[in-house]
Amino acid sequence: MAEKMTAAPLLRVENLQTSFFTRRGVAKVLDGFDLELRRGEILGLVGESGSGKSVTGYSIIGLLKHPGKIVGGEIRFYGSKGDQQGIDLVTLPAKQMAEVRGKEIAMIFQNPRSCLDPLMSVGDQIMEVLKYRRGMSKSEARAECIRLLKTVHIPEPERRMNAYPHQLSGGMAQRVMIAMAISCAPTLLIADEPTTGLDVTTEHQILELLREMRDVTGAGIILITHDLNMAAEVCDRITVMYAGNTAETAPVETFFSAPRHPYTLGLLASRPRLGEEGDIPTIPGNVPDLIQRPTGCPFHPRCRWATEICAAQEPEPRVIGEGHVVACHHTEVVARDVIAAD
Amino acid sequence: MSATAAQPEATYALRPPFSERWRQGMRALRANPTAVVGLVIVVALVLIAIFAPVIAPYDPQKLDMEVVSQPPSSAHWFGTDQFGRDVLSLVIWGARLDLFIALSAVILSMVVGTVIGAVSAYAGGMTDEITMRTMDILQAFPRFIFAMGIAFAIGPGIGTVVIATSVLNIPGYARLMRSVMLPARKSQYAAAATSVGGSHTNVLFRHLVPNCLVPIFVNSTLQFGWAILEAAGLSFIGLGVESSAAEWGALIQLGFQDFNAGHWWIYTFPGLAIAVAVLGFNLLGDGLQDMLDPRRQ
Amino acid sequence: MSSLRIEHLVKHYAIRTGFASRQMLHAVDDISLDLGAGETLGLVGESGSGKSTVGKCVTMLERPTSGHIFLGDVDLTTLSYNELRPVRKDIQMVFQDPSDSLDPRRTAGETVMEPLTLHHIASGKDAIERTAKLFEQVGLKPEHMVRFPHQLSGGQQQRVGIARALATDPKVIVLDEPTSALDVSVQAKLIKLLRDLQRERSLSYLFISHDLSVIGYLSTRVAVMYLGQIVEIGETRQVFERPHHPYTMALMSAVPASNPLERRERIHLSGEIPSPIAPPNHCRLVSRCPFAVPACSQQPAVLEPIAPGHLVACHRAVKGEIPIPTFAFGSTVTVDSLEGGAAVEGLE
Repeated sequence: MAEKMTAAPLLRVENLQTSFFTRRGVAKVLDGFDLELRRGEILGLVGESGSGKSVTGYSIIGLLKHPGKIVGGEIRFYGSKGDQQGIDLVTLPAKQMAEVRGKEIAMIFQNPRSCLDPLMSVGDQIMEVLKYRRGMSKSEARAECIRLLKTVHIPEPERRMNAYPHQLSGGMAQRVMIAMAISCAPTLLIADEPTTGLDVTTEHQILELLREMRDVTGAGIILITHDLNMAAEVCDRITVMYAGNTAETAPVETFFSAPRHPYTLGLLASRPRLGEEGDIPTIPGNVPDLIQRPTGCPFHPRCRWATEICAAQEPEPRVIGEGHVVACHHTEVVARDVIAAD
Repeated sequence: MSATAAQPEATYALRPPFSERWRQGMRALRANPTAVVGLVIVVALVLIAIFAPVIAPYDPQKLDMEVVSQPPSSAHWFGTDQFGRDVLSLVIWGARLDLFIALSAVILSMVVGTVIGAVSAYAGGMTDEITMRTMDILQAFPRFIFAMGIAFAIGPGIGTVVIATSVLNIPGYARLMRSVMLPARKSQYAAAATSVGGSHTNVLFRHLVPNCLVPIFVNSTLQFGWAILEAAGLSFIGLGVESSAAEWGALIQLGFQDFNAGHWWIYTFPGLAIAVAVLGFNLLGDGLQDMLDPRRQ
Repeated sequence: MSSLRIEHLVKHYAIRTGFASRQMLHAVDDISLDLGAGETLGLVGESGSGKSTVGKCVTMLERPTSGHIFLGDVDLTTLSYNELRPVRKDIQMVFQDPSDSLDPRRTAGETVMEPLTLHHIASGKDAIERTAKLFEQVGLKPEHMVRFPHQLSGGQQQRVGIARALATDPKVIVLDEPTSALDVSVQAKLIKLLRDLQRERSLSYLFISHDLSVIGYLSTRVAVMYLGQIVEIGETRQVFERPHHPYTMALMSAVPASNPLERRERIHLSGEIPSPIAPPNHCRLVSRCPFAVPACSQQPAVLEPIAPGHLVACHRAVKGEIPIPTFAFGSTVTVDSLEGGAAVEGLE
């Protein structure tokens, strides 16, 4: 996979700040979040609920809903034109953003069936996108639609075109969503928990499909998930989010062989494993309230390595290996302890 | 849900203290100016109705042949009608009668309709089918024809207005309750209430109905406005209270008799009163919708 | 002595398929299970397998079409709604969606206290104190009693659900995907809680889940369901280490690797789970099974023992006609050998 990857960045998110202005106060859901995605790469964006991973997706594609708002930072997107400068999606006018959203960035969601119009056959829905976005005639759109459905391995596409969303299984509906997402050959695909609610065997098929789509289209994919095992399956790199910050980013092998952020360690350990005896280690405490964020490192109240500096000062992300970035004051101590424990 | 209220001497509480709920309620009100405006109007109407004898400048039924059909003046702010009665006093006393009619009609139809709808949805099957078809028949009746039938049976009067208005509103409530209840019935908390050993009555009336009441309450405030309009309408066509009563609809009808004479004040002011009352209840209803949902606090 | 015994459970639903036509949806088709005291039986299957219907029938939230459910000596299926009420004390349920399973207008304390008052276990001050104790047992604070469900996190909500199920001191608890709506770190805490509670109170769990890792961690025995039937049942280790049914094999090989070095070969079933309306009268996996031969479509596959306590419903597996993969049970899961007609795809 590594050789397919070109070093050229496709997306660079820097110091992104997204806040939600609620009745109770301002929730800083993303607080200086960084991310980089290369072309043809699958990046896993992993975190628990409340970590801001979905909000990241919505911020990038410009679909944040009230009361959410980007209040700072930059989302630089180096689209298909191979633009050296890239465009900043945060400041891009709405009209141009809509253009980019349709043609260059696509997103798929969980609950695919609720994303489809229940009153329209799936074929018509895909064809509508093709006619509108790619200016195809009806017959062209029809042929293209069948081709797309074939690409996502829907059997008997000519017949399935006429099916309505409720006649499709969850897995099939997600395939249709993927077909629709890739219909304009986007360079960036954001998949927000695409397999939630699907069965294990179907989940696996959808993941394979995503990887295949990456191979076919060369698009960069951000896979938003709470499931580390799933990220292990398909991702090239993984970014762990905690309370709107990047905790750790690493190539997938490094991520699982030498994780260094205390939160990552906790997450990895708390997965139940087949046939394992004994207690599952857990992370004490709960995800912080984003309206009253902890000072310093947001993870420090739950961290066993925390010292005074953690409460006082937010850790800067530090490069500790090839492509391995950790935001922790005590990386060396943690590394020593982890190696000792092994 | 009062049975579960904590005793004061208990170390542990089951409900947040009243002060906290009050604070939350106030916060919800502050965030909802529409509801506040509605509430102010409704409270003002209720106060006017209660203190009508004190507020009204004249006895509304006192005939004064000296001042027949006078336009608004400093002595009679809203003018006088063709019998020399003070229109302002009539409108103030009218608040009493109209609020009473609307309140009793709405409460009657709400209670009956809600129970019918809830039981129907909960029981399902044939019970549901039969109940809902009965509601269809009831709803298919032209309203005024139905009211005429009741008036024929028991004679025109307040009773007729209340019964006619409430009976015809029952299907609406039943249908609304049923539509909210059907998805609620499938919820896991209903299943949980059954699985811990609750009786049908317990599951339906202690768990499901309380969770389905928000739209019912909201609808009721909207219905208040309608009920006033309907009661006024019935009086206007002579099926309601007698034409000389201090009731807004009856007053408008009285005013219309002198329409050609240009005595606009007799029908305009009671008409405005109806409009304000309907507006107040509707604003309150809209506001309540946002406030009553516990998940939105 | 088993605390719960299910005999030939069948649940069909009538589905309207057209203007006047109805068809039967076979959600559960002839299932027998028993659950020993203090045991955890895992019920695994994908959506549409009927596993949740089994849970609802066992707790009599749905009336079975036929079959018997014995709780101790009592056959639940013969009891009316009102006769069931006192019996429900002994069999409780924890639901899948913690936010939906709590009455939104009741505080957590009221929710947990309700079974105590319903079954006249305690009343007044005593009931409140017992409720507070239950809160502590599930790792909540008595202060949480005044909170409404929307003021609690998902994990806390599910703890309230567990406290409610524990209130009547039941013998059996049916857990329907209790952790699937929760984050990993929260899930781990709940699993630990469930296991500790089981040890303290010698509870029997019927644990319904699609997550093999969770099932593998908690269950002593496991039953695999496909299209309303049990296709394989046995000790968890037996079933997961040497699955004999092709469907179990596919499930096991679909478990995501816990790290990228373990990305591995897969056993693929073609297509998706077929509709449970009018299922065929033979082995139900035939249309998707890589090992299917014409003989499989001749007669229904019934559970037959292949080892003590290990039963499989597959014509070919019981005759030893298909290769049995070994999954390392414990740390890593890999497919050792697969030959024959298996559609095996290499990954990289």
